[in-house]
Amino acid sequence: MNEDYAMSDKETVLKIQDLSISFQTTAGIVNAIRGVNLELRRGETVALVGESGSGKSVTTKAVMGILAGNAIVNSGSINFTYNRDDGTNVDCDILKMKVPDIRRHINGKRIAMVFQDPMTSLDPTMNIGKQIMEGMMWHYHTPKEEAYKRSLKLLEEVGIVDAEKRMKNYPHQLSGGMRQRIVIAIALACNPELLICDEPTTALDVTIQARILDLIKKIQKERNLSVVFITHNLGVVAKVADYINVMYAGKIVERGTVEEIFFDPRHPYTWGLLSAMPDLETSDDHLYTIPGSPPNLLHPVKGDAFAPRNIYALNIDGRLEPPVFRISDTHYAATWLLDERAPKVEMPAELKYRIDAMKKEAGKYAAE
Amino acid sequence: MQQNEPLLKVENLKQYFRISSHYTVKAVDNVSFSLYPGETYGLVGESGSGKSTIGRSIIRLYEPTAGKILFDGNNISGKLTKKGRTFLRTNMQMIFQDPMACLNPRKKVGEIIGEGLDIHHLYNSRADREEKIQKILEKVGLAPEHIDRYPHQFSGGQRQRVGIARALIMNPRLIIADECISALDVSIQAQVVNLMKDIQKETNTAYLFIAHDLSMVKYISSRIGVLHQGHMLETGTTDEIFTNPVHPYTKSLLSAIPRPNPAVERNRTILTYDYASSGIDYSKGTSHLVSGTHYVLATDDEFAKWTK
Repeated sequence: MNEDYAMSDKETVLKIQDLSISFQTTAGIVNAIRGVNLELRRGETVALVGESGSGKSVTTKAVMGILAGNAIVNSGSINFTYNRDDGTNVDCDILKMKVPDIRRHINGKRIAMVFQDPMTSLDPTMNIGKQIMEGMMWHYHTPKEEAYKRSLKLLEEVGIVDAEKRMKNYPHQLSGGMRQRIVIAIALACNPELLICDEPTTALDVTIQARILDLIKKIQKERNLSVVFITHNLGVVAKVADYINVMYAGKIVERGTVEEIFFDPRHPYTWGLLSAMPDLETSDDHLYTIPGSPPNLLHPVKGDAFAPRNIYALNIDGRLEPPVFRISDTHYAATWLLDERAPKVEMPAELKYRIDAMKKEAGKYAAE
Repeated sequence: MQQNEPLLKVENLKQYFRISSHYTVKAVDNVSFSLYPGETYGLVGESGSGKSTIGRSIIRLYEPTAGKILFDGNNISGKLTKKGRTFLRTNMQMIFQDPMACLNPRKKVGEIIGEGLDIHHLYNSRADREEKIQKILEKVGLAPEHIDRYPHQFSGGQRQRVGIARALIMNPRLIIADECISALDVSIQAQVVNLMKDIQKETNTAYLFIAHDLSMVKYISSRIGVLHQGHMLETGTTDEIFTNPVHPYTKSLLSAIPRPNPAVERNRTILTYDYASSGIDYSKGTSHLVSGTHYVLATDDEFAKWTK
């Protein structure tokens, strides 16, 4: 299935090019995003993976036009393509749009966002029904009765029984999983083309997490939505994503299809991330950890930002930033280890062992 | 495995919260388990299952409604004597979930860590106190100069280390770790878990590890208890629970663990479990022995059906 992703001529919905964003803080200028490129086609899911502070959320906030007031966009463009109500295609650069225009034409209507904590993203003083209807009435001037009917349908779509009764409930009367379903219903209310999920299941426990992920996948299929998925849980990524972008210190250091990242990772940081997560077979004495902590982006980064934590770092990593090397049509990584002059470095033995076990397990499913 | 006396023995613990004259939340209902010195016992369950409440009842942040808690042979349920309280507070410590919220933002790290020592007068001189704090800081992987910093000057992983240092300085026999890694990133989680394991090896401290991340619980615990709606449904060694889950709830919980393998994830089916429609009544069940130390809460009929 990878091949047809690569070849697919599906229309590009979101294209971020060379995005660079800094924040003006009292301590100085923090260069949070340092040249991010990202492309998302209709009906596909791209996951952004990385530690906190790697710039995942800032990237998506830029797409929504909700960056904090002290943000400075240094360079880049965010091209978003959407269909207007009359059927014409519109291609716009969100970074060049005025805020009122973004709020009127983009936010909620074309790009919707699901946040991490459903309790803080819902209004505690407003009942559920009102919150779902609000967007439709504001963006499309839908009459109240019709909005009500559509809200009921949405609630059923996201798997809430007793929809009529729930419409009158307030957020605090619902459980965490139910609240997140409501947030998803609100996000879907205006028929967006792009859904941004910012760690939507981190606050939920495993059984509910699995159900919410299934729900997002189901809705995506039905509506042909494009999804940007932010998470640091690799199990979640494996479930939902078509493509993975691994972020480190404001840059995408490796990108590829799910299979390429999980079965053939090339960047040492990706190796570290994959090794650090215990799976059910792990029984070693120690979990692998990535030594050190992410760089402070207050200071300019010289060379490869990951070099100080990288046991495979080469001499050149300290001096020169690695370019992006192409591994396949869909798989790219930014590390000097892929240069033809670099010494040949294998991924850690434990990780190799684990990937082999994973492949074997995957083979079983393929055979079935 | 362990033939020696349990360090902590919880018998029929009940923790009710009275909301109004006709509504009482039974957060924990008839839970029994024991914990041996130097082992890690994992409590798992979904949110609202009562796992944190159990931890808080044991360390007496709540007054248990009924039941008996024996800690090192001493009864610590019911009214505590002054001596009993001191014994409990020095030998049992807790690590909390949110490392930012549990550290006083107006105190320096040295004061936070040394507070227990100050309260219980556990040092001879200023120099002795200082030395003890420095030793602990080193043990949890922080630098000596960190002693004069405030919590906000640390990263999430470092803050959790401060929380661990604060618990460790009392040389506790038991540490209750309440979701202590849930708020951390994957790579930081691994660092903190490794640290906890190393400390356990060195000091033989027992952990009551409360979490909802089952792959982490499996990795760190030697025995596990599965909770749902305040009832302990199944308990046993990690192997027993993971290779031979008996209770339908345990099965559904295990089937929902996300696996970092795309091929597996795409083909996985999650077993659903709905207490209301399952026909199971937890309060009717009694503890049945499956094998070894593996117990499950069930009625006789249910037990026959599940183990068939």
